[in-house]
Amino acid sequence: MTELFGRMLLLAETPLVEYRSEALRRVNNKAEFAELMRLAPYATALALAAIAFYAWNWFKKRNDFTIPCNDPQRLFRQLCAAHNLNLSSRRLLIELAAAWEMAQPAAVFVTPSAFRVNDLPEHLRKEEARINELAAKLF
Amino acid sequence: MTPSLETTMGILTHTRNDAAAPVLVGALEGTDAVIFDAAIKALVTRRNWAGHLAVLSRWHVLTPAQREVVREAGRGRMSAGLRDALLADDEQTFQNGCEVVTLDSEFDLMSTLISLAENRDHKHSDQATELAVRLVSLLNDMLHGRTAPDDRRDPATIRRHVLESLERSVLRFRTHHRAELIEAFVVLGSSSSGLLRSIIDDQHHACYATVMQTLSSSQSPDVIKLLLGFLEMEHASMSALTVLSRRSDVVFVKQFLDFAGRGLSDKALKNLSRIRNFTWLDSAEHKLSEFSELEQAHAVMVLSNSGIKQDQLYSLLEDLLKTGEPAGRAASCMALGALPGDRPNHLILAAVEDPAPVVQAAAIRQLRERRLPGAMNLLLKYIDSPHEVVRAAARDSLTEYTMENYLQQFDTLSDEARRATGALVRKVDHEALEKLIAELESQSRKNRLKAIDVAEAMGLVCKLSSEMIERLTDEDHLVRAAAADVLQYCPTREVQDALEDAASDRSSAVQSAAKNSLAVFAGMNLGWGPAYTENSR
Repeated sequence: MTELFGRMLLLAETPLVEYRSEALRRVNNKAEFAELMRLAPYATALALAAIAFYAWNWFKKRNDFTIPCNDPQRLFRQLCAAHNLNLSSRRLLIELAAAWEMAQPAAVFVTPSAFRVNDLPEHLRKEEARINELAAKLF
Repeated sequence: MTPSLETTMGILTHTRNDAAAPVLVGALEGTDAVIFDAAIKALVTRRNWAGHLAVLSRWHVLTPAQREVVREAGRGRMSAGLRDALLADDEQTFQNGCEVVTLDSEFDLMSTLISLAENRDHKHSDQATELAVRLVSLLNDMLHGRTAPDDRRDPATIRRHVLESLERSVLRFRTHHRAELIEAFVVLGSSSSGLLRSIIDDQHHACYATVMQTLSSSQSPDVIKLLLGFLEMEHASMSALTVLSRRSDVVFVKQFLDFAGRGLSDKALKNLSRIRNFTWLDSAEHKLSEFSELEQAHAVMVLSNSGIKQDQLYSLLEDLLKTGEPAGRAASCMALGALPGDRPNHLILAAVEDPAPVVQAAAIRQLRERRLPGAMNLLLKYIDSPHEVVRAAARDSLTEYTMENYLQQFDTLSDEARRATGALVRKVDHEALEKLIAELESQSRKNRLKAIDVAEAMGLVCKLSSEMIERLTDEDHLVRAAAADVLQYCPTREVQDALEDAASDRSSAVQSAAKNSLAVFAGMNLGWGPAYTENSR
């Protein structure tokens, strides 16, 4: 799919490149420069499309958990996705892992003791209800 | 375990993200038993040596159930972790690794253990050597079928790989001097191993003394089997045969005799003949007469095929003939048969009177071959022995007394000789009756007539009464007359009825013979209907 999209971009760019070369040869000509500027929106659109494609590809790759790797963040995301955790829950888990100085955030998923509110710093104790809710959900 | 935790553990077990292993290792530090169990299983299932090593380093604190999980889930996956455990400096992890390697018979670790064993400076070198030797012993058990039913590994393939590692170690012997590894090589090796043969053939080889020591003293059935295997080789090394002749321990001697009892091939006989002495013969604990009955017989087989001096052999056989068990005495007697001279003759003649029938039989079989005086009389005496084995031996020595020979010579014999020889043929030739019946049914009139005479001379008329009655209807009147004549010796109702019919035969000779026989019956007062008289007709 990615390869196909790349090819389409190249095909679209071929006439543009040819045209641009022609225009540059006559760069002193203001009228011709104006004509070149007329193509700017198209070029911008193409650039945006390329950026969107690369962003989409990056996001897809980021959430592809079948790729062999050694990535603690990815493992954390995989576990969060498996438990359908929203962004705030994920943030809370990261904060818990940091509070317990865990080597990697995914460790909270196998550490029920990390959810004991009494041993947590002040700012996290305020989240007691959410922490208990998360503990109940994960264990 | 809750479904959520199951989901977590499922991902940590199966994800291709190696970051899961440290998470699981961390879970082993927690206090939650459910998570601990699940983490153990997940770590073992994952192909991650660091995770395996983490589990192995905790092996000593695992419960039996957890250990079972580790063994079950980790079978065939933990070699790398085990290798690291064996190479670990930590004493406990090393001990744990050794325990798991032994429990699961992890032969893949053999080369690691050998390397450790060879490195005498390593603090675990001695223990690694012990473990390597133990693994070889376990492999031997597997090779002999003593293996767990669920273990599907091929012992022969494992043996080949382990032997390769051991052979490399043997070649490095000068640097490590680990005799145990050489012993392990010998235990696992076979007589066809080129390296082993080259060591045995080369007295200057660095491993020669160790190999010879192992072959000379090891009680391992495999070493003994290996040693006996040299007997079956085309050009067995004299060093190996010397070891074989010098071993006198009970375990070896018993296996050696058992090996001989299963039959010796031509190669084995040839190699055996190269051995001039057996140390166990001089040993106080191995008196031939004290062996079991079968062992005595096997010992005789070994000795009589060996290259020991004839005088020594005579003495041993004589001793056994006097004091041995029946099978041993019989074997001695048979062995004496192959030896020339008067001394064996006397011993054989004495053995004919032995109380055991098998010994008598063995002696009787030697009588005629050795042309001993009085042999014929003895054979004629023992042909009527109450023991079948003795009778069979006598029969086998009187092979000329067959029905074929008797029929051939019959016409030349006197009446008395016919009867005496006929009686002997009946005893010697068990197929005499069948052969005579075939002769009675011969196409040749001459043969049929002779068969009737032979039946009479051998006293077989009654046994052949139905065949004789059949001859009363023979196409030839002379045969009919002869049959009617001899039937007088068989006074039965059927014969009488047949003779009464024959009395009205178209041939006057037959009539006359039948009437004569009926007259004999009449004089016998047989108790059933009136026999033929001239008047009754």
